[in-house]
Amino acid sequence: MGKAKANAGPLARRPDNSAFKQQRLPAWSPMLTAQTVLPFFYGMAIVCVLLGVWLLVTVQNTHELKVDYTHTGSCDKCFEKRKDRANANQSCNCTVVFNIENTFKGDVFFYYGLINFHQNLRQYMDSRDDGQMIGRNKNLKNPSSYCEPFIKDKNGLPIAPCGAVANSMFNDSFTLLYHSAAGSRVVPLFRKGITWYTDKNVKFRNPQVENKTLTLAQVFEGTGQPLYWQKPVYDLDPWDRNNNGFINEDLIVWMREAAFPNFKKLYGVLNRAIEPFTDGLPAGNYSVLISYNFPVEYFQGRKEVVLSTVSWFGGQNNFLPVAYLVTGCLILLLAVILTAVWWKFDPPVATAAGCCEPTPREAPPH
Amino acid sequence: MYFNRRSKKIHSEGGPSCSSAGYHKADDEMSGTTSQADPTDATARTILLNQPQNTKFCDNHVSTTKYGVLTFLPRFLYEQIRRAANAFFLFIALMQQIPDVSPTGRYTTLVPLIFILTVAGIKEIIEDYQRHKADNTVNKKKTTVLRNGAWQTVIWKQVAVGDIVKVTNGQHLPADMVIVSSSEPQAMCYTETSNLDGETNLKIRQGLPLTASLQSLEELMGLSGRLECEEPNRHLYDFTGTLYLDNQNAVPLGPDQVLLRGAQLRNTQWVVGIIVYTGHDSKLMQNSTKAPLKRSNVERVTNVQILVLFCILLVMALVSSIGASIWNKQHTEEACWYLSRAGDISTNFWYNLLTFIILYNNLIPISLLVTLEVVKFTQALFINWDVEMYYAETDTPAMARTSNLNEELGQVKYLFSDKTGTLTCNVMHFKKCTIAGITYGHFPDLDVDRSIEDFSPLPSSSLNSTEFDDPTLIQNIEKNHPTSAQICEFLTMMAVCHTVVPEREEDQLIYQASSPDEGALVKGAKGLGFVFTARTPGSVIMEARGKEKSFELLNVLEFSSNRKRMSVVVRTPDGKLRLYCKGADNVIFERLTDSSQYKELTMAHLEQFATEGLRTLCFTYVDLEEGVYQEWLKEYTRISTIIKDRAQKLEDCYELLEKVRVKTGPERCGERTGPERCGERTGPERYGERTGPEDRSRGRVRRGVVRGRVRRGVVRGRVRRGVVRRTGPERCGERTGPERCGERKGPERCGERTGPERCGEKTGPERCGERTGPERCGERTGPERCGERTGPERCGERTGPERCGERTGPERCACPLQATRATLTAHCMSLGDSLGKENELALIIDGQTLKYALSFELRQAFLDLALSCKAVICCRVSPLQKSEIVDMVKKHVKAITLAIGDGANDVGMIQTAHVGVGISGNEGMQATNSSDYSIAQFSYLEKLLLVHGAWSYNRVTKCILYCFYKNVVLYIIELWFAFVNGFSGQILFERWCIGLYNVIFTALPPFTLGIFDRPCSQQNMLRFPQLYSITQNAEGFNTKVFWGHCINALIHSIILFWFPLKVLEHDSPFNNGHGTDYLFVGNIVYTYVVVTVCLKAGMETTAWTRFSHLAVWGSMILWVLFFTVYSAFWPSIPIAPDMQGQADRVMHCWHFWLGLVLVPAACLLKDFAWNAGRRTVKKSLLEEVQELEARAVDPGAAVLRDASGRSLNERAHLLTRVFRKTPSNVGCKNSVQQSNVSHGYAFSQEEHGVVSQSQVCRSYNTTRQRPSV
Repeated sequence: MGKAKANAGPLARRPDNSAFKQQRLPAWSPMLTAQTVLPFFYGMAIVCVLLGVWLLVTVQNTHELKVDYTHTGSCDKCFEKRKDRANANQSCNCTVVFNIENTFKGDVFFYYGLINFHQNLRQYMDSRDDGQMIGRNKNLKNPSSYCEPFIKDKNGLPIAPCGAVANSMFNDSFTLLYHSAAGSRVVPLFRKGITWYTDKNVKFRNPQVENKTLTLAQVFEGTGQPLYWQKPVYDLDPWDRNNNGFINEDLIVWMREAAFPNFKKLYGVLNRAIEPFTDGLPAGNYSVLISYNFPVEYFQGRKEVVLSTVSWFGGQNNFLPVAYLVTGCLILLLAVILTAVWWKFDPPVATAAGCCEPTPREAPPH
Repeated sequence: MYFNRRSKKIHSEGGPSCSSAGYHKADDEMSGTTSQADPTDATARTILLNQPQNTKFCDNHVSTTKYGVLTFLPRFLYEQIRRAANAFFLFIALMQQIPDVSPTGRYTTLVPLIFILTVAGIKEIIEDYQRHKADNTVNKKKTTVLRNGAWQTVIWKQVAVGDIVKVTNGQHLPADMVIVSSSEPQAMCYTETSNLDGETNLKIRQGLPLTASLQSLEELMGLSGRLECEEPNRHLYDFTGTLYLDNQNAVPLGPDQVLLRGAQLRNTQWVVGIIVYTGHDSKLMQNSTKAPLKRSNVERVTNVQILVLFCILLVMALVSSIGASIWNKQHTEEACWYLSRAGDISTNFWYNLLTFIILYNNLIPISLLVTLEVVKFTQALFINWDVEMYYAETDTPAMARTSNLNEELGQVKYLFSDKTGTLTCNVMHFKKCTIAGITYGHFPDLDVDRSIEDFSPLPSSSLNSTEFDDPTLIQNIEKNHPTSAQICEFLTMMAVCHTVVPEREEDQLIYQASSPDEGALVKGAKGLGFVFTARTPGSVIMEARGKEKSFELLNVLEFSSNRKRMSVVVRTPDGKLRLYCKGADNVIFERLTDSSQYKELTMAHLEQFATEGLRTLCFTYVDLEEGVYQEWLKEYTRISTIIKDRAQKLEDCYELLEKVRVKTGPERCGERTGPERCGERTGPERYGERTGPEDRSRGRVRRGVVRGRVRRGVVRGRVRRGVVRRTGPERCGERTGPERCGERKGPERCGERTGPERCGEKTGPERCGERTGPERCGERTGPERCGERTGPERCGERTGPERCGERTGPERCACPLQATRATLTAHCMSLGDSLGKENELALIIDGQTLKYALSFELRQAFLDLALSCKAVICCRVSPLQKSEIVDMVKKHVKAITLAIGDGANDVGMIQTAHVGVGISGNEGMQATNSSDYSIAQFSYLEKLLLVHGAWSYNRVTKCILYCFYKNVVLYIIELWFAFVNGFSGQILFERWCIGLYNVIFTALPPFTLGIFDRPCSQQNMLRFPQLYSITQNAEGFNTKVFWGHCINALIHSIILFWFPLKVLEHDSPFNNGHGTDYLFVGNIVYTYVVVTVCLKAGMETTAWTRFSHLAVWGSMILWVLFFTVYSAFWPSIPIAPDMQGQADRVMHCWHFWLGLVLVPAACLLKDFAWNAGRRTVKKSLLEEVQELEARAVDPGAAVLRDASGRSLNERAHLLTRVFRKTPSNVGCKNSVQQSNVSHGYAFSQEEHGVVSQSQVCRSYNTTRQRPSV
């Protein structure tokens, strides 16, 4: 055979006697026995229960108020009006009143919520052009085909921002009023700072032009507004010039597509610099003045306004503490069962001694 | 016999790395097809001598590689795509190219697929490169060729047809060639053809007398003419050609004049030949075919499961599509004003189906195949690297020739073993003798328990007993002991009566023996001062204790397996005419006169030797009377010239003289010599121990001892070169689980103990020796003996150890078929209810009977009977029958079979069995090259099965189950998500995260599970073969386990999705009130999945090596790193805009961290509790051993304790036997005496060769210098 043995030593093909090759690597073998697992279980159970209790207490200190305004109160007429698409361009305002019994202490966040609105449909989610939103001029005038059919308006101009997501942007607007003994006053809301930092600064940019003197309207010249919008993208925020175009925060918030069909999105944050809101929202009567535009009737959806305070780990959410408590209890239960089983089947006294004495009876000679 | 040998020769061997002749080849040879070449081809090739050739022949370059540089890509891709799973993924990748169909983008399947194919490709390249390298070494070997009027050294590749080549001693022949002349008389030469047919004995080939004298350069250059021969074919033992030398008559050439590529020139200074076939035309290469591709059981099961998963996938896709249809119906275009449904194909059912198939495609783990390939490849490397399976003596490590079957090694239930050679190694040493009633020779008692406890290296002297080591023998001669004359006679006989040729090499005598037995004897005599020094055509010269004596060699009465003896007639230096004879005891005893002395005593010693496991052989001699001899000589001369039946007649003639001997000198014969016995012991294990380097560990020594015992036990079973095979070990634990194992004390115990049956026996390695061994008796008392004499109808069955030696008796009947049937039926009847269960029985059957037993009508009955026995020994069976039996068991019993053998005649069964193991021993490469695994020693099978097999099975199955698990966990989540997103096909995760899940983030844990996991230590795997039954019975991998994992994965996926859903549906997970999006949820779920799945891998890991830590923690870290980096890609790198900023937000979310603690815990604690509970309630044996191992307690007791009741008894019984230091022969004493003892003796010598043995001895004159070119 062709094995070249001649030029090699007598033990040339002897394998290395290394721990790796001989599969003798040091190893730790965890033993999943009752004895080793039980302390862990009890520890885990205690941790979970304690954490659960703590979280529960924390959550109890937060407040949340949901006001469904789909067709409550004076919004009923608007609801009827939005049923007919022909009225899309007619504005409709309505008011919903509600009462806050306990003061919302701390930061208060104003959300709008949509029920049964599927932002998570594949065709919907894909229908956007992030390249356009990042301000690429190429994409501005020539949006990605993913935006079909919201890509050109009826004049043949490319839509900016294109796609179904932007097109269906939530366009109700709210004014929160506080009715105290001293009279009604508008609750001041920050309408900025409601987006992720990276969204505002990285992901969404207005088209860059060399001529800095151009107004936003000029920059967006040659593009059409989304079909269902009443205003062009450069005119979304009439009060703040810098909050227009693709970096409009409402737009950015909307563009973060929700995972579930029921969701809420941040609309504003209470400005606590102004009395009497320095501690949050005082108890009392409130009303929301709504510019009712967004039609939900077609998909049996509902709209709501949510006022909420947050704890260190976010908004009011009873699930997490309860989950901890339940898991902790389950683990405790398991641990107890295991202990019982252990005592029954493998009493600790026997294991130590029993295993080490072989009891081979003397065999009968055959 | 002839038939048998013939078939053995038919198989021939491939080159360095090419595989063997296929089994079917043996088949057609066996079925009587002649191997004659097609007559029309007979003169198809004309070779001109010393001239350029007219036709172009294949060059001498050989290639055994699978791929070339250019052919690699197409062939590799073709191979890969043929696999169903890869084809499926390719289909998915292609479907993704259809716009808008794929929810995951266009390349998310293609890229992982390419990655995986690349890994597989690299593996293939490495393997093929090694083949290239091996080919290269062969092609670059050097040889001497006559070119341009001078001897030139060229590499093999350049050797061409028609070249005159000179090959010197020890070299391999570069191509098939016709002998012109050689250094030996009459152009003889010896070759060893173990590479071709596995036979190690030297074969003699002889050139034509016409050319024998052409030795010098000038003469060779003057050679002119042509040589015609048949077209290349694969028949190793056929060659027809004609040599037409100018001015000479045409001379026929036959196979005797041909030397084949791959053979090695031995015992011949040089040989000159004309190349006739080169490269792939050579018979060696013609015989290399690919071994059939074997698939392992696990692989088959896995394929079925993949299919099942595929069906599940289709069902999921179907459900989702139906869901989509319903959703679309409920949500009309009007309702979904925010979408634009106009012209959208997403409402099409089939389109949706395709989308969902693409969405869920990864339910089938894309990386499974390549993971398994790499895992198995590494496992094979571990086998190759195992230093405990490395045999230093021949520098042979174990070799996994395929990695497909690693896990199959852990499941072997039926073991088929060739006996001769496989168990005995055919290495022989002179160990013991009994002369005139006195035994000599110390056979170290290996039963001594020092080997159990002794950790220190054994003193090498105590084991260095390859030589006969009894000083009393010499002392007896020197001190003129009464028997000193007989002793001298005995030793003289040993030095004279043989056909060995001595060779002097720098003052060293090297004996060239074509049979190892003879070599051992001559060496033995040399060791005792009776040195055989030289041979001349008419005499044998020896030195007896310093004095040179010359015996005139008158006749050599050759050995044949019929005669079982050989004799020489010599004239002693003092002028006496003497016949020396050696042979099997029964043959010799038959020929002794009744009055021979020491007959009884010698017989008793013989028993004892046999009991110790020595192969025995008797010597006797007689002085002939001149007249009688002359008369015989006349007759002999007459007979040796007759044409018809010469061989037979010669044998008759020999018989005449050997009879004469007894008749003429009865008194003297008996008186003077008696039969002398010399024990020979086979057993390279001693080698191992002797040369074993300092790192000998306790385990090694112990195993060495086991080995010794094994061999000894079996040597005895070596009854007349029959093949003993056993389907013995088989059932171990088959039905009743591990506790069964302990119980068996069947005949197989001693004989061959390898994995499965070790299971049975082993609670201590030295069991074997102490076994009171029914088997011993069994093998000895031999129905087979009986069969030999009375023909096929004996089918002896032995019941239990108690009745050892009792035979139900050979039946004799006129019609063998009827008789066989009657016997089988009778035995089946007598078994009654226990038929089909395992009984303490051994079935012994010989080849002749087997022929009938395997006939269609009796097959079932035979199988029933065989399966009811613990061991089945089949003797004298043909290679075809061997594989037939394997095939029968394979087909009728759903169990894994393993065949082990070392010779060419085992190729059939090696290839037929599920797993074939070849012993790369002395019998050449034939078996090795057709095997799946090759080991150097039979005893290594123990480690191969018990450790590597069981581990590999464990690892592979864990790896597979885990791969399924992790994929189900992740991709079922997509289904849950479909329920909340209106079955639109939206994915929850980022597309590349999904794509890389299998190839990066969870790729490592399956590898560590598959490569490094080990349920318990090697030592304990070996010590407690009961553990083997766990893998043997597929407890770790069956449909139940598979579904268990899938359902577990399902539960995990529900927790993993539902928990974040509930936590995050409030959309304010930050303390700054900011919202989230779908990918935020997705990333959190994904992270939980990666963490859970990695921890699950950790839970599955029984031994956390540093690699396990790396894999488990590393994978998590890898994901986190990737997540962080990937979240910052956009917009610099234009992918994944959705991911922008995700990592930052996720890490800042307390919900995420709180869930990170809770979710994996909730998933895994259930598993934890389940495992711990099960462990507490009912510990499996494995777990018990693990625990004790962890506590560093000797687990021996646990193994004992685990059984209860009867089996405890049994085991305890066995155990006591282990610790009782009984001399190995005591238990068998009774049976020894009562049985009709017979001891195997066989030369493994070429019979009826080209040149007869007597011719060989006569043609030598080792006293003179050989001619050299």
